[in-house]
This record gives sequence, C-alpha cells and structure tokens, in this order.
Amino acid sequence: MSRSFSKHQTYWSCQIFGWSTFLIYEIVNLLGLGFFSWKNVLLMGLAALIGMGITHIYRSIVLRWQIMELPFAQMTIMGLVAVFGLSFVLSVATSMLGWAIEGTINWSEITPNYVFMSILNWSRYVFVWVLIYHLYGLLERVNRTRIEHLDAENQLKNIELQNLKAQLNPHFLFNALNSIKALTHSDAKRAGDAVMLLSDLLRYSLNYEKQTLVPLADELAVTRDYLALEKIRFNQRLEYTLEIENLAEKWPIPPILLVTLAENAIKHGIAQSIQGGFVKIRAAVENGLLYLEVCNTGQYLPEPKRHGIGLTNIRRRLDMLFGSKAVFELNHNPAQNTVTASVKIPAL
Amino acid sequence: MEIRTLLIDDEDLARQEMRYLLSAFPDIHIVDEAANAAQALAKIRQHRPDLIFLDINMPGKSGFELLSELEESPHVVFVTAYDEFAVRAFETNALDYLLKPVRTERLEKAIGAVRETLRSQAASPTDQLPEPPYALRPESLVFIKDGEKCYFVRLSDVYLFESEDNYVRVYFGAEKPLHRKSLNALQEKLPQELFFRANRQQIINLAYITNIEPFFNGTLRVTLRGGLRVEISVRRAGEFKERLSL
Repeated sequence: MSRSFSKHQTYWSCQIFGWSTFLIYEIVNLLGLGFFSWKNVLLMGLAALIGMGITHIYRSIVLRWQIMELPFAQMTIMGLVAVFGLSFVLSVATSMLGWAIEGTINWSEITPNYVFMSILNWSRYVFVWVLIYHLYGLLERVNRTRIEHLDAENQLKNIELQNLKAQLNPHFLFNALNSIKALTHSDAKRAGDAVMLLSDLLRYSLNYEKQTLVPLADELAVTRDYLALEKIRFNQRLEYTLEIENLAEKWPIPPILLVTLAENAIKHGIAQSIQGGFVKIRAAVENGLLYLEVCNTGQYLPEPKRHGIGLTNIRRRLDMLFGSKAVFELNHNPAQNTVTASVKIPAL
Repeated sequence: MEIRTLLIDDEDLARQEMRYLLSAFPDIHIVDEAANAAQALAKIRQHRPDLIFLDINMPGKSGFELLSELEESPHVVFVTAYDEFAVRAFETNALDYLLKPVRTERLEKAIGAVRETLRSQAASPTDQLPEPPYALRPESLVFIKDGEKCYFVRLSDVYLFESEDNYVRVYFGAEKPLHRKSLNALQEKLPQELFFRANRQQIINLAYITNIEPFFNGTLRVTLRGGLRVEISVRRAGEFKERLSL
C-alpha cells in the first residue's frame, strides 16, 4: 500500500516538474526570440496544463490495456504511435487555444507545412515524456521479474529442503529401532533381518533425490522393506498385499512416492486403530497411464492445519514433472471404511 | 519397597523390551500390561499401580487423554519414540520421560526419582487412612491439562480451587491452570481433613491459612499463605469455626 502511494507521488512530482520545466524553457525561448508577451505566457501555461492532462489520459490507457506488459517491440511501437497521436491532439488543442485568445482564426496560416511543424514541435516534448514513462515501466518490469525469479528459486529450494526432511520420519525410525532392540533378546535372526530391511530403506531414502524418476520396481522393493518393518512393529494389527501388473514394473515414477503413500496409509490407517487393518497396493497400466493405488482401512479426516508435508510434496512433484497429465487424489469410502490414494502417471 | 508397575504401549515389542529392561530392577513389580488407553484405564482402576510407563502416541486415545480421565494419577514415566510431544507438553514442571529405544542409565535415573518420591510419601502418616474407592489423599497426584501445558500437582500443594464457568481453576505455587472438572464433583473426592468449601465458588486448603478475621454480616475473611484473601460465607462460617477448634 505505502509503496503504491509513493509511486503515485513520484508520478505527480515528475509530471509537475516536467511541465514546469517546459514552461520555463518556453518563456526563456520567447524572451530570447523577442516574442515575449503575457498573452504568450498564458498560452504556454495553458498548453502545459493541457499537456499534463493529455499525458495523464495516456497513462490511464497504458494502465487499462497493460501496455507495459507487452513484448518490448510492441511496446515500443505503441510508444511511437502515442508520441504522434498525443502531439497531434496537443497541436490541435493549442492552436485552438491560440485562436481563442487572439479572438480570430487566421485561415491562411493553416498550411500542411504549419500543421507538420506544429506536430513536430510538440513531439519533442511528448517524446521525452513517453520515453521516460516507458523506461520507468520497463525498469519496474525487469525488477519484478527478477524478484519473481528469486521467489520461484526460493520456493524450489524450500521444496528440496522439505523433501530432505521428509526422507526419514523420525517416529517411524525410532520405533523401528526400538522393535529391533527388543528382537535382539528374543529372536536374534529376525533382529538381523530387520537391520537389513532398515539399512536398505535408509540407503534408498538418502540417495533417491539424485534421480528424478525411478522404475516402479525399485520403489516397490523399498516399499516392501518398509511394510515388512512396520509388520514387525504392528504384528497382527497390520495385513498388507501387493498386486502389481508385470507391465507396470518398469514404469518410471518419482522416487519415494509409493513409500510416502504407504507411510501415510500406516500412519492414518493402522497406527490410529486399536484393531489395526490392511494396506493394499495395486499397480496396473491402462490406456498409456500407470494406475497406482494405495488403499487402507480407516477414515479420511482432513485437518487443514495438519495436512501432511508428504501429500503436498507428492502433488507438487507430480505437477512439476507431468503438469496436468498426472492425477493424484484421496478418496474415502465410508461404507467399506477405507481410504484410497490413487495416482495416474503418464509415460514420459 | 515394591513398586507396582503397569506398562502401557500399543506395540507388543515395545512392551516386551520394557519388560526386559525392567527385569534388572528387583523392586519393580509389573502387575499388568495394556495395549491402549481404554484397557489402561480399566487396569489402572483395577490394580491402582504406583507407577505407569506410558506411551504417548496410541491408537484411540493418547496418553495425555488417558491421564485426563483419571481422578488420581499414578507416578508416570512417559515413553515416546520422538521427543517433540513430551518436550512441548512439559515446559513448566517436567515429569520424567524416556526416549525409545530406552537407555538403561536413563531408566535407572527415572526409577531412582520415583523411588525417592514414593519413599517420602510412605513416611507421611495419612497413608494409613481407610479410603473409599477413588477418594483422593493429600499426597495424591492430579494430572491437569490446560491447553498445551500439562501439570502433575500433589493435592497438598494446592491452596485454592476456584470454580470458573464449568471448570475449576487450580492454584498452586505460581501456577493456576484450568482443570476440566466441576467444583462440586471435585469436592466429593477431596480429603475432608485438608480442604474446606469456603463459599459457592471456592475451596481452600486449611493448611495454608495464615490469618482469620471477622468480616461483614457474620462472614469471615481468611488470608492464605501468599496473601490471597478468601471470604467464608455465613452459611459455612459455623462449620468452619467447628473445624478449626478441633
């Protein structure tokens, strides 16, 4: 608000300063040429006011049609047309003003040469006005795009950072370690297996961001590791199945996508429920799209404040990679008490 | 002294691990286990344990919600996989919490602290009073959750209960959190030898009275330690004098 107000002030200061300079210049000119008369000064003063008014109208046209947003060449042409047009209007207006002050019209004066010289005369001033105005607009535009660019860059960095944070869900990690510790007393072999599962998962989550896409089969391998670890933790509270079409195995998908969906299913579906439930993962190829589905028992209770980083990130990453061709949605089926996350991913 | 202990965690392996760790402490006697808050509530009322190891994140109700439902809280050691919750909830008067996987040294320290408080409690004579079910004793711990802040307060440390809408403001030390119970319901549970209903809004701790003076129209005004003044209503003044003359 304060910035636009000061912009407004700058504009009017420039207008007043510019046209006063014009007036002073003209008076000095008249003095030098020996044409000084109060009538002429009045004429020039009124001409300055008309000039200010007409250029102000031009400004509102520029703002209305967003001429400053046009490509550079178009904007330049618009500027030149404006110089001619404004000069023409100004010469007509000042001529009429002159005749009004004199009280007579000297028809013999109006020759093509006179009209041309009058327009040329005015266009010197108008050209300076339009040039300054357009340059200022251009400068602003460059500044703005630079800031927008920086903002976009910043946002990208933020996403990367969030991805980095989302790599390891500490709650899962420490609970898994605790389960493994318990197993070391009771079942050393299972404890060893669990350590292997956890190290594969950790390795993958530390390296995944080096690739933008991975074959579904790779992602499935770590998702299986992840589910096996959660199975140790939740025991009979967790049942899971995977149904994967052969064709789907090689389909490229953004890394950590499936793990995030599985993690979400466990967090909201299994960990919240005393009896537990199931997680069903399905992948199929149809009409040139990969259909990926993670279905879990439970309810979908969106809480605006707690909408997970995980799901937001999935949306953003799919957007960045595939635009509107990829679809991601969450559906709650109250009759079956299930929540299904489905993703459609196009071939690249 | 035997410490009767209940384990509360939704994960089998987590309870198994806790059992294993606690087997090194001969005075810890595990009376039972619970896998969720509902089970825990029933088992706490059944066994009335001295100590519970409580997982904060459980399906259904969380550990905090479980505590809010208890009239009187056993000693609590929180066990959590990730410190975020516990640290946030206990800025003011931290009770102990352990991080999973649990370090034996930390467990030893936590149990040491519990032993200490249980021993000082056992020394107080009020312990032998016969108690109706769930009646509170002066040394009873009460769990209060006011917004994000959690408190464990010993009843004998409370100098004033004041009704505020449908809840009770509990004054102790420099704190006065809001407790989600009604003043009338609370009065029935409070130990009568220590707490007195001064008027419709307030219950005072008799041990905190420093001065009594007559006030208007047969009412009395008492000053509590710390300078807080409370009026004893005409209806209550008679019984108040009787109680103090004993």
